[in-house]
Amino acid sequence: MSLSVIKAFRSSIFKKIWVALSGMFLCIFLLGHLAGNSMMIINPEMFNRYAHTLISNPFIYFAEAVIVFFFFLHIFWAIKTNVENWRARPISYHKRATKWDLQSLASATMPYTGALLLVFIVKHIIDFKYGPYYTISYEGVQMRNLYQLLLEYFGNIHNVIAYVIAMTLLSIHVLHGVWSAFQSIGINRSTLNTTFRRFSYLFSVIIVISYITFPVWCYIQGVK
Amino acid sequence: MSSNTMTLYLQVWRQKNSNEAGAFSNYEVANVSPDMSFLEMLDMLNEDLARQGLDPIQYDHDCREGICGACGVVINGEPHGPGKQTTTCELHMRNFKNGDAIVIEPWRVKAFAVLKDLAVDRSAYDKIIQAGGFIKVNYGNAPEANSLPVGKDVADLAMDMAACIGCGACAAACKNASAMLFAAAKISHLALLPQGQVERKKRAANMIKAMDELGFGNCTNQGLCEDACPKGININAIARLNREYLDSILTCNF
Ligand code: HEM
Ligand code: FES
Repeated sequence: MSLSVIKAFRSSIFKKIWVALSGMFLCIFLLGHLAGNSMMIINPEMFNRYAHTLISNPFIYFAEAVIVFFFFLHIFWAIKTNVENWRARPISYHKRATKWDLQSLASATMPYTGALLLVFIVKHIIDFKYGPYYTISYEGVQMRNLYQLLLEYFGNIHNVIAYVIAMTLLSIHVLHGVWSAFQSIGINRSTLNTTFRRFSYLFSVIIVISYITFPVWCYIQGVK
Repeated sequence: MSSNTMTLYLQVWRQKNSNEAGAFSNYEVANVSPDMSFLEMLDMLNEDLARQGLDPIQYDHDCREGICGACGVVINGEPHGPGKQTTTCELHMRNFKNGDAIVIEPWRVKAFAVLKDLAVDRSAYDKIIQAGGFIKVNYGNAPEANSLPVGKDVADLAMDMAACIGCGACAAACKNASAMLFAAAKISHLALLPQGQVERKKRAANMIKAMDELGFGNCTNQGLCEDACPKGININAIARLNREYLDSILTCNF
C-alpha cells in the first residue's frame, strides 16, 4: 500500500496538486510581499526599518528556504507536466480552432508566462537582494538603505517598463492559476465555479494594479 | 440535383497504417447536398474513389445517430466539427458553404494510434474502463424504484456523467492530449450512485494509474475538452475526479 501511495504522489493528478498547492503558497507570498512593499509609499524610514528587521533576523534563512522550496516544487512539477504533455501529442494538428478569450489565452500560455516569470524573478533578486548596498542610520542604528536603491533603480525608465511587463505577465499567470488551483485540488464544483473565476480575476487585477504602482511611484519621486 | 448543392475542397489525412507516415491529400467533392450528414458526404467521396479504382478513405462509424462514439474526426481543427454537442455523424453539411475548404484529420493523441487514414485505435479508453470502471459486486435484481436511496439531483448528475460515449473527442481537443474528462465522467457516474460505493475507493486510484500508464497528457484545466464533448460533459466533473482521487489515495485501506 505505502509504495503505491508514494507512486500516486507522482500521478498526473498529484503533479497538478503539487503545482496548485505551491502556486497557492506563492500567491499568498505575493500578498505578503505586497504589504511589505507598500510601506515604501507610506514612509521611507518605515520601509527601511521593515527591511532591516527582515534581513537582520536569522529566521530569514528559514523563510527564504521555504520560499525557494515552494518555487522549486512549483517549477519542477510544472516543467515535468508540460514536457509530458508535449510528448502526449507527437504529431500536432494541421489546423486548430483557437479560442481568443482572456481566460483561454491565459491558460494556454501558462508555461510561457511561467518561464518568463522565472527569468524576471532571478533578475529581480540579483538587482535588489544582491544589488548596490547603500546605508543609512536611524537613531544610531545603521542599516541598508533599500529605499535609495529603489529610487535609483526605478529612476531608469527601462527598468520601470520591464517591471510593468513582468507584472502584467504575472497577472495573466495568476488569472488562470488561481481558479485552476481550486480545480486541481478538487474543491471546485458547479455551485462555486463562478465565484472562483471571479476571485481569480479580482486577485489578478489587484496584483497587477498594486505592483505596478511601486515602480511608477518611485519614478515620479525621482522626477520631482 | 437541386441548385443549392455545394462543391467542397477537402484536405484529408491519408495514412496506410500505424507504422507508416501519413500525409494530406486534396479532394474536390461536387454535388454535396446541405441535408447530407458529414459521413454521407465522405461516403459519396469514397464511392467516387472506388469507381476510380482508388483506395477509399478509412473512417470509423457505427450507429450514425450520436450514441456509439465511433465516428470522431477533427474537422477544421475541431473534434466532431463545428456545432455544439454533435458527433460527426450528426453534423449536417448545411454547416458549410459552397466552396469551403475543409481539413479533416484523425484524433492526434499518442495513446490513440492511427490505424488507417482517419480511423484510430481507441482501445486505450477501454483499458481505463477495464482498470475499474465497472461494478463487480452483485446487487441482485433491479430493486423497487422508490426504494433506491438516491436523490433526484444526484441521479440526474449521474445520468449526465453516464452520457459519455467514449468517443475520444476530449483527449483529441485537449492541448495536452489528456483523457481526464473521460475518466472524470466514468468515475463520477459510478461514485455518485449507491451501487458504485463498494469499489469506490479503489476505482479512482486504479483507473488513474491505468490512464497515466497509457501515455495520455496531464490536465491543465483549460477546458477545451468540455467544448468538444458531444454530450456536454462539464469540467466540474474533473474537479470531482480530483477529490475522488485524493480520497482514494489518502484514505484507502488496501
Ligand atoms: C510568483 C510567482 C508565481 C505564482 C504566484 C504562480 C502561481 C501559479 C498558480 C496558482 C498556478 C495554478 C496551479 C494549478 O493549476 O494547479 C500555476 C501554474 C503554473 N505555473 Fe506558476 N506561479 C508563479 C511562478 C511560476 C514560475 C516561475 C513558473 C515557471 C517556470 C511557473 C509555471 C507554471 C506552470 C507551467 C503552471 C501550470 C499551468 C498549467 O499548465 O496549467 N509559475 N502557477
Ligand atoms: S457513428 Fe455512432 S456516434 Fe457517430
